[in-house]
Formats: sequence, structure tokens, C-alpha cells
Amino acid sequence: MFGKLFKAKKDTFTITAPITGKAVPLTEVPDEAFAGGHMGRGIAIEPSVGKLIAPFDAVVAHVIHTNHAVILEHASGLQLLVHIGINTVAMKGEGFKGHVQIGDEVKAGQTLVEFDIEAIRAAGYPLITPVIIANEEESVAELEVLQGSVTAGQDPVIQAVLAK
Amino acid sequence: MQQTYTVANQLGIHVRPAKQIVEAAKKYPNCNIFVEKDGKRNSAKSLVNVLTLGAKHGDSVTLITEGEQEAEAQKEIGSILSAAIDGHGGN
Repeated sequence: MFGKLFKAKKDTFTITAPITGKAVPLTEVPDEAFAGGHMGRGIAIEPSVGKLIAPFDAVVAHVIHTNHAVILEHASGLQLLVHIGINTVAMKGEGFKGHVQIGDEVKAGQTLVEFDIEAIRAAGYPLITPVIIANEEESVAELEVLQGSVTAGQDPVIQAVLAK
Repeated sequence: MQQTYTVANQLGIHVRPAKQIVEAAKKYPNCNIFVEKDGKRNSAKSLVNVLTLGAKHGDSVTLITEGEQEAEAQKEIGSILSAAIDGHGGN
């Protein structure tokens, strides 16, 4: 109990949902690399709206050239990976419209990628989107995830106690 | 030591193989490990750094390992770099 109080003094960083939909545990992702936690810890969102926004002010550390995955870096050094759908790399960019480039500075709420939910579904790929900390060892001391219906930019999905 | 590999994965070094490279590299804490393409050299122990190399199918990527167990690291990560498909689960 007291431990919790003391820990609360450290920097807690709340990450809101980058996509509107339903937040579920990573274990529900039909891909062993994500479900088994090998890609990092975090949460998955089953999208209901085809738009990925920045959940916090960040630098775009990476956008895969096919626009299905983005890594954002926060000023604290924390890197957040959002991977839209599973095996969507095979769509080679079709159905994905990128709005940012590597190195861009983005503001919370800014649109990063728009994606065509129907096109991805029609191509046969799961839409479930892992949202994970890409560099947990260096950036995060503790991490908690929150589930349920989420609205992008409003509802928290990850609470991280920053390492620094 | 260093060796150059040709990326055989049709999809390039995308998120999944990149993470495999990082996980493998981190098994060698006392070995400096870098991936290099077109003169750009990045640490193999950071997902962002491996991804920003932007290695596509057919690209040549040089793997540099310096330190303890450099031969083992070279072998393990080299096999990921040159793998035709992602290294697990049949994906």
C-alpha cells in the first residue's frame, strides 16, 4: 500500500488510445510474436475507425514504407510501436495512406495513417492492432494496460512509470 | 568481424524480422553489433535503428560483430538476415 504511494511520485506517463475501437490483451492477437510478448509489452486495439493518431507529442522515429506500422518517440525516450493489422506487410501499402514521414514532429491528436478497414478485411488480414512499447528495457520501469471500448486521443490504454 | 548478407525475405527487414534481429543481438551484451547498408551503420540492439536501415528484398546488409562471442552472434543474426521467410511460426 505504502509502496504504491511512494511509487506514484515517479513520473507516470499515460498513453491514450491511438485508434478508436476496443482495447484487448495482446494475448488475443493471432500472431505468436505479438501474443507471446516477444515484440514487447502493450495492448491491442480492434479498430472501429480507420485512423491512427499520435497519442502524445512525438517525433516519428520510423514509418514502414508500406505505412502499416509507425514508431513514435516521446521526449522521455519511450518508443511506441503501432502495427496496424496482422501480416498486413503483405498488402504492400495498399489500403494505407500515410500522412507523416520519418523525422516529423507530430502533435497529440495528429493523424499519422488512414487505413481502409474494409480493404484489409477483404484481403483476409486480421485488423487487430498491437500498440506496444518498443524499447521497454531502456524507457519504462512499470507498465499497466487498460481494456475496453476506447476513443482515440481520449481514453487511456497504457500507463507507464518511466525509468528516468 | 563482418560479413555481408543478401536480404532474401520478399518483404524486406520488416517489423517482425527486425525484432528477431534485436532479440538475438541482445543475447550478446558484451559484443558490439551493427548492421550497415549504403554506408549507414546502426546498432542492431534497437528496433528503431534496425528498421530505419530500410533493408528491402535483395539489398546487401553488412553485419558487424565486435567483442565476446562475435562468431556466434555473426552466425545467429546472419541467419535471420538471410532467411527467406520470417524465422518462426510459419508466418
